[in-house]
Amino acid sequence: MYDMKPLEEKWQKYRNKKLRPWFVAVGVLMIFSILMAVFWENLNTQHPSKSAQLPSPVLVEEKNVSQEANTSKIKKPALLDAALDELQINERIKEKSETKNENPTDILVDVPILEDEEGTDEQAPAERKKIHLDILETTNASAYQDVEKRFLVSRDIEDALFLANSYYDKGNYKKAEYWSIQANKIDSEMEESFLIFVKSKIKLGYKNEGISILKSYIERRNSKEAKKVLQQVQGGIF
Amino acid sequence: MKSRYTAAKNAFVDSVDVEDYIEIESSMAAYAQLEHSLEKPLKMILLFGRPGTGKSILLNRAQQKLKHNKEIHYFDTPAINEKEFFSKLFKVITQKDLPRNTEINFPVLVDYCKSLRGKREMIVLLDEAQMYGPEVMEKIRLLSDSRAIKFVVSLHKTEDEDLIAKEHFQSRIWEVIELKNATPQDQAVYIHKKLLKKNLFEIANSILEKNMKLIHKFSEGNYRECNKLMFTIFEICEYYDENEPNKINYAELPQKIIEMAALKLGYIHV
Repeated sequence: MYDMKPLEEKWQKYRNKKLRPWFVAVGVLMIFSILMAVFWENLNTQHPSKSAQLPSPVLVEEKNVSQEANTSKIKKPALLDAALDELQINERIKEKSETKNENPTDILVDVPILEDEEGTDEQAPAERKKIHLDILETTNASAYQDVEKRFLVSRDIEDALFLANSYYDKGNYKKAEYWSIQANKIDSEMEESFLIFVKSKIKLGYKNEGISILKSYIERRNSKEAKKVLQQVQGGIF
Repeated sequence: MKSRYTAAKNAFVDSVDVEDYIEIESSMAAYAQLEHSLEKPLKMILLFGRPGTGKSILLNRAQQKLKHNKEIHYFDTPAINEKEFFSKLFKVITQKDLPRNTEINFPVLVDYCKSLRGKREMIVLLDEAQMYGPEVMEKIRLLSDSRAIKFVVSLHKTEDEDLIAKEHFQSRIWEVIELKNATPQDQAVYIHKKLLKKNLFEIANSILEKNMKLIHKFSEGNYRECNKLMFTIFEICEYYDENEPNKINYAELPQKIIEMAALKLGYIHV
């Protein structure tokens, strides 16, 4: 019997040599798999970032659109690469600007949109004052409704006084009476809202009641304007 | 205590003993063809195949089986010279030993053979015939022409030897029997039958189909190489059984041991 140890060692070498290509193949396969996994991971992570970046120009453009619509000027979008998209955006801008130019006098429609889009609380009071100036010029009924709605939220005495005056001027004494009461609730010392209330009451046919209210007001405040209105009512001029 | 693998190892000792002859499909077909050819009035029969394909054992078996019915003689090893060969042949033909200090007069021998035509029919089985020189082969050809002696010439099949055979016997060979290497199935049957013949059922069953395929791969279906490989395999098994039994699986012949045997025999290299 020959020595088995050298034969075993020889067999071990043979086995290693035989298995070497398999180890190499498995190694290559593993490296390839890892590379593929990394590649796919990168691919997946790159796509969302791209898609996240893409909407931003659109948003910027949307903002541009709203700003440009205010000024009724058409500008080309700066950040879209594709010519087709650029054209589509231009078309949208044109449409928006055109629809806004249809009723140039209907400013009240534009005002809430501006507030919504800009959405800054600091700018809101300034915008409201602007509105009053604009509203004095408007004849659109829906404009009053917008101010009424806004008053419910803001409880701004200016809005209530504006509505009372406007409705009184238009001859809608019932609404003038209501809005003058609303203004008086906010500031009971304000004479203007009181006088609109009394005048509206008298116009609605409550002449004696109006005179009685005026007299008691004059007794308390000694108001010149109230005395003047009382004289006009009693003299039959009012 | 004697290892169970000792008997298995000895079952594969390479021999041409007819007792070790294993009947498998291919060898049975070759034997049937040889027997059938011997019945024909042929001058010469060429039996050829690569070494280890079972030519010798086939001739031996034919001699053992037919010796009672026919005058058949088996020359297992080639004579070292022409004189020795004809001395042996003289004894076959005359049934007497060649007297000392005498030489055969070949033309007289041919005439004597011719005189025996129709009276006697001798069959001479010449194994390893490639060892005979061209002059001897020419004389064999002349003797076969007498029709009293039928020669079965066994040759190794190589490209050159095949050509030599054709040149020598082209006009006289009437039958050619080719022995081929065993198929995997034939070889598996051969191994199993070898072991079962020695009542080694467990060991025979421990050699699985995959083991058989590997053995066939290493031995290339050659019976002589198969015997060598199986002998070495069981020799290694015997060593482990006696010295390190934890390294051997008795239920299944380990592939490691087959490969170790193949390494030992040089079928594979590191």
